Amino acid sequence: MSEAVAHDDHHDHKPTGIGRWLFSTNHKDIGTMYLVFSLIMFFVGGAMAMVIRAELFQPGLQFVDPQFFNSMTTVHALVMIFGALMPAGVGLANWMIPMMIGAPDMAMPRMNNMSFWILPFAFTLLLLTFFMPGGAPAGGWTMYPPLVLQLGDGFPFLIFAVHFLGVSSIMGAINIIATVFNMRAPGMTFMRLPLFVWTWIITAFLLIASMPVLAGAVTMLLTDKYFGTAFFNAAGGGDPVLFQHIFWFFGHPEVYILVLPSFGIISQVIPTFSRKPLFGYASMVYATASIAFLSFFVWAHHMFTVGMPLTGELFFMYATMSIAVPTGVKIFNWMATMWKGSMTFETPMLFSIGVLFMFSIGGFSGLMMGITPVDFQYHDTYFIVAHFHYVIVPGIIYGVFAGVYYWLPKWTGVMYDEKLGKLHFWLSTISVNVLFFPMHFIGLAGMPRRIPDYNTIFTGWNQIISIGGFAFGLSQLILVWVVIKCARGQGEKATDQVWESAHGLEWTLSSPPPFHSFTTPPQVTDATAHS
Amino acid sequence: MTDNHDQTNAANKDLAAKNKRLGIILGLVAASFYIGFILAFAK
Ligand code: HEM
Ligand SMILES: [Cu+2]
Repeated sequence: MSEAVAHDDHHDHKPTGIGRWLFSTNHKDIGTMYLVFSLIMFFVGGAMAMVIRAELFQPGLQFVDPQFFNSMTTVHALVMIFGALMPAGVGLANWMIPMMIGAPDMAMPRMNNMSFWILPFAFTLLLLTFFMPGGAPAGGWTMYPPLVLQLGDGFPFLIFAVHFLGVSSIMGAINIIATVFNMRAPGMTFMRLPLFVWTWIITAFLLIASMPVLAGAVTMLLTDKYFGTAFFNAAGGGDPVLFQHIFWFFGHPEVYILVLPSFGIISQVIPTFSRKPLFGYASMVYATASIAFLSFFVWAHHMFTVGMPLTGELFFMYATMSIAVPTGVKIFNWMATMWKGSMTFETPMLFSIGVLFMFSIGGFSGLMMGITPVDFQYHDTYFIVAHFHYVIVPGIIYGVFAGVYYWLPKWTGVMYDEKLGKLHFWLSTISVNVLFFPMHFIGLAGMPRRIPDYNTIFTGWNQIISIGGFAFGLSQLILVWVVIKCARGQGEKATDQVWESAHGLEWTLSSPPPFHSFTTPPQVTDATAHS
Repeated sequence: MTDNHDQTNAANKDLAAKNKRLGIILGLVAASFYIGFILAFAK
């Protein structure tokens, strides 16, 4: 027995110095690195958004030249999607999945290290393009040819960065699938998995199916530019529209890759603060799986105006509408969970309710754009910018915030500052709506996206939007403050369960959890399972 | 105690092999999607 204890002590010994991070194979440390990287990228991408909003504060050209403006919109999107959102999801998965299923670590810890360290490398490649002849990518994050082929020396750097990002997320996805399939504690059956784990398995399969398609598309761009192929070159018998089909065959599943983990998080948070089990657990799992499956059949709703046969337009219109059904099931279940619950409104719950309201606003404008004939008006205007920022910012990012506030006391062992958390929520929520809601109006009135200058009739709303943007950006500093306070251990000591009504294996561990947790797997029963 | 230890080691080896097998299968699926997509459009 004493030997066993000594053995455990030995295992809980943390490596020290820079090597702890460089060579880390520990899911908690790697999760932390992913989250910190994501936060840094959130501010890098945010700085670019501030440049965009400064330039658009007035019509005419004020601060930057149009080429640089276009680089700002393009790289803002790439940094936010691949640098901030996806790593945030993977970081939370790394931290939480092993603790939620009672596993000692991820299935392939060394690959886990590699998946992470590829990211800073890939973003160095991408951001270096700012200093190259021809500048950074400026043809939009969608990289449509032939425009993207006009990029200068930065082109191969863009392509290789995207390849590396793809490799990193595929490795991450493989790791998550292997972890959940092979490492669950005894008694942790699939239908007992916490929903965050479920949404991540489904996301991981989406990643494996869709990232190779993106990689294929950009490989074809590379060979078109340098090796004389003509995949997308009409003069050589190719077709530029083919790229759009391939890109969006990746692109639409990608938006669900981003949002499903957030759905998973709020499915953990809402029951805790409603003091009721999640309503309709099984239907939640099936709805998530159907959303993922359907997401492969709607891609051409991004291309209604490109000139498809009528049957194609109709097919993609109806397919797009059909996703509203499983999405509706999920929204219904979250509301039914809150129904007659003893609700309290701590910061994680506020952000989750924010997701419910504001993701739905984005979902509705998505449905509007899914209607083929009217999308001819909305396409490539600020209306679509409003749509995807609603689903992404108060949809996905709020979900991540909810998760961070929910689990921060578990990670650090101290409660975050609830006053600051609430301040962060309310300032963000007011400013995010000032920022994105008026984009619907100027979009419907005809203001195109991705332009540095605009007709003077749009000035008023643009100024309001920019003010909302700066306010939103500043509000995020509160989050940094909250996180730093917790990381330094300033705050009330957190209990193991942290939240009065939190259920699941992760809450049976100490706060903060030991460096190596569940080295002997726990036995899971219906009573200890999450649902 | 020693027996127990050997058993966990054997179980760990088993698990590592299982993880590796699944990893390789999924990796091959991803790689073949990648190659397949490019070949499908190469003429
Ligand atoms: C509720 C279901 C949704 C529907 C029906 C929907 C529908 C659409 C449609 C039709 C477009 C194309 C608009 C156009 O180009 O004219 C679009 C664009 C977009 N959507 Fe959604 N959407 C939904 C959810 C989401 C979610 C959850 C996300 C993100 C997580 C998202 C992110 C985007 C993005 C990024 C674009 C713009 C792509 C670009 O052109 O740069 N959408 N959406
Ligand atoms: Cu889409």
